[in-house]
Amino acid sequence: MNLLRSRFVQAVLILVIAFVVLRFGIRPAAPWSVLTLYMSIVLLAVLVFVSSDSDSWRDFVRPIRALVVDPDQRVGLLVFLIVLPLLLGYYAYTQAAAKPQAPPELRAVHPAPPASIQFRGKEIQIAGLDNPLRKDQASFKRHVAAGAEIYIRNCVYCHGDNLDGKGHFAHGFNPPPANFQDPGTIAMLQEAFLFWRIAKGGPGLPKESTPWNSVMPAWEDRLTEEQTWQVIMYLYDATGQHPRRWEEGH
Amino acid sequence: MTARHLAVAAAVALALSGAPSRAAAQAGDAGAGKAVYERKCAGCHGEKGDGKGPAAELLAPKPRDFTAGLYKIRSTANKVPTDQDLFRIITAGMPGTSMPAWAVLPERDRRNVLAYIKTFAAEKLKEAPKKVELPKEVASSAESIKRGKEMFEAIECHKCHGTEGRADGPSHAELKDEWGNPLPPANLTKRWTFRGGAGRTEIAMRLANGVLGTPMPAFLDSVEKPEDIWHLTNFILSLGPESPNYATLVTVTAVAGPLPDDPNAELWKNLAPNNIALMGQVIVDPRNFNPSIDLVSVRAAYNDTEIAFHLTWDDPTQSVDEPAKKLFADAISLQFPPQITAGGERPYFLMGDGSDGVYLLRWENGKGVSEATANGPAKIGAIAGGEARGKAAYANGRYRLVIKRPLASKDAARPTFTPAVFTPIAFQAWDGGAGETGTKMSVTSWYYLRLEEPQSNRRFVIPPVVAILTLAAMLLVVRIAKGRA
Repeated sequence: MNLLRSRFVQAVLILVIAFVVLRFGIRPAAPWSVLTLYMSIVLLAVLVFVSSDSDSWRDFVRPIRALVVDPDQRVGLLVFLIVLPLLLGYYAYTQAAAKPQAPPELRAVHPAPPASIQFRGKEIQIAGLDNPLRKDQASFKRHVAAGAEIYIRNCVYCHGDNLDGKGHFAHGFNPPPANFQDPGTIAMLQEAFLFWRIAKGGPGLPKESTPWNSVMPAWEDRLTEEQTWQVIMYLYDATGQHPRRWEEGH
Repeated sequence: MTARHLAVAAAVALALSGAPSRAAAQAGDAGAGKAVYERKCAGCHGEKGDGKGPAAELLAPKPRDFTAGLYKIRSTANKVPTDQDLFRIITAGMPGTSMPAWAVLPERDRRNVLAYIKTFAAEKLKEAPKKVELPKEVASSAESIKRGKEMFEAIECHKCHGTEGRADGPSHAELKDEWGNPLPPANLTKRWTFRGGAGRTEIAMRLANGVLGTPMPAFLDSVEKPEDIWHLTNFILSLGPESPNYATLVTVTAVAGPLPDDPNAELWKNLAPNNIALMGQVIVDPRNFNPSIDLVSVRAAYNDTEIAFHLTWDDPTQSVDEPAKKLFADAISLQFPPQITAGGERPYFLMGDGSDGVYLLRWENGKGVSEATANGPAKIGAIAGGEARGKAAYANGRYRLVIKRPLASKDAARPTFTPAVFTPIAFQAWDGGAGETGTKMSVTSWYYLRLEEPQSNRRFVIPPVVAILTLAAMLLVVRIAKGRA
């Protein structure tokens, strides 16, 4: 019990508990850079805590001072003098020997769509455009079924049977195919945005979206306007997502 | 990815551990399964379960025809699989085919769909499944692998799978499944594509009772002793790595001496491979939905004047241009931007486009190595005064190729390779024997290549310096503290 009252032991305990909680309590695991940041904040807080008054500070420093000056603890000091430089040396080695990683591909994931596009030579206004097939409620099922067939014959290789971006070719490409199940993709986009992306594909992306590395084909070469809207309807129907609406006043 | 694998493994383990009484209690409801089937399975397997869904024509191998009641992967001695066998396939999928792992669906849905699938061939699945008893397991050892290799030849596995297991045996091209569709043998060096799983027991089971509906027979009764099944398993497991371990960066090693032309030279064996996954080209017609070449292992080295690429890939036949026989030259190409510029901008990954071309280092069987520029796959032009050369070797279903080029370029059409610079690189490959030519090819998008700095000894200098500085600082603290005390 006496041990727990020591400020030094308390400080060490707080650090250890904080580390264990941050390292193993967060799922999926946080990257080391984030962990280092959090631990620095915890360390600062601990230092503030132990130095809150001079008694506390003296209590905290006592075991450290004893280790350094007390002749009875000479062995402990010696061990410390050997182990700490070795640990830091080893850390420096892991850093210096680290293999270089491929540079990250910085790209805009959802770039701003153009106001209008040329679809097979026909001008289509993207801004403010809604899916024209949705007006005809009676044919909804027919369009979704047609969209399902278009999807499985064209899109499934990359975007996957489960629409989760895990098709057969998915692991070979960077950027990876879009995961339509993810609420961060089609759920936050207007259907017209999808129309533009499907029609123009990778080559139609603006520069900030790395058009040279996207393997998304320009589907205007293979799908008609109606087929494109049908497959869009299927994407929303199959994932249970809802398209974003245009804001009023557009 | 790992989480998904774990989920699949857990679901499989759960399915396999299910005691019969529990499995019966879990038997699905075919009526409820119909809805799941129509939503998730019918696209390939067809509304009627005949394997003729709208996607079927593009797929290879073809989707299962459930009306035949024939299942490839089973743990039984008769033709009827257990429910666990089917549940495992639904859950874990079939690697190397278009059948995904449906572990994403709730277990109830998977059980229900399983019950529904069985209704397509209720008559044929009436018999009770008869479990295969595998002989007592034999752990792997050099001796066991040797025995396995002898058996591999004795029971003629190599006739289809090839001497070293690369699916290049003499009869590999003639194989067909029960429905008459061409069906290449498994490449035993790529375990991650094994349809029924790559575990020891799974491999032993395939050997013991075969793969139904395919030319792969059951061997439990034709091996000399039952435990030979395990020796064969151990041999097969020794043929290739557990996983492809795909690279994201191609590292070029600095070498002091000359770079060997010979693809079998010692240097190449000492370099670690950078494994690159290749995918079908499905953008430009004619498209290639089922590419033959799915992996290229790249080793690369450079000295003060030259850079050399050592490429290894599997191809079951060596072929040259013979258009009359629908055969084309096997080929591979490395793609670079013509100039390496700072910033991430690159030409279009598929051999560039009209405004931004690419530089290609190509090798074609029968023609050798050449340099070219391309502005899209249809516009490839040779560069005059090519300085690249190379040498290929083919053995047992595998090409090994060395392509060499000077580090520095003398014109604007080709790049200069500079150490420590991230250089974009992409790959294309053609298996001419499988009819691949032109845009019918395997491709990658852009990767990076990096020439490592020569003789970098940073990692041997920095750590001792850090250690000594730490020690000095600590001694200083001790001294000051003692002085004060």
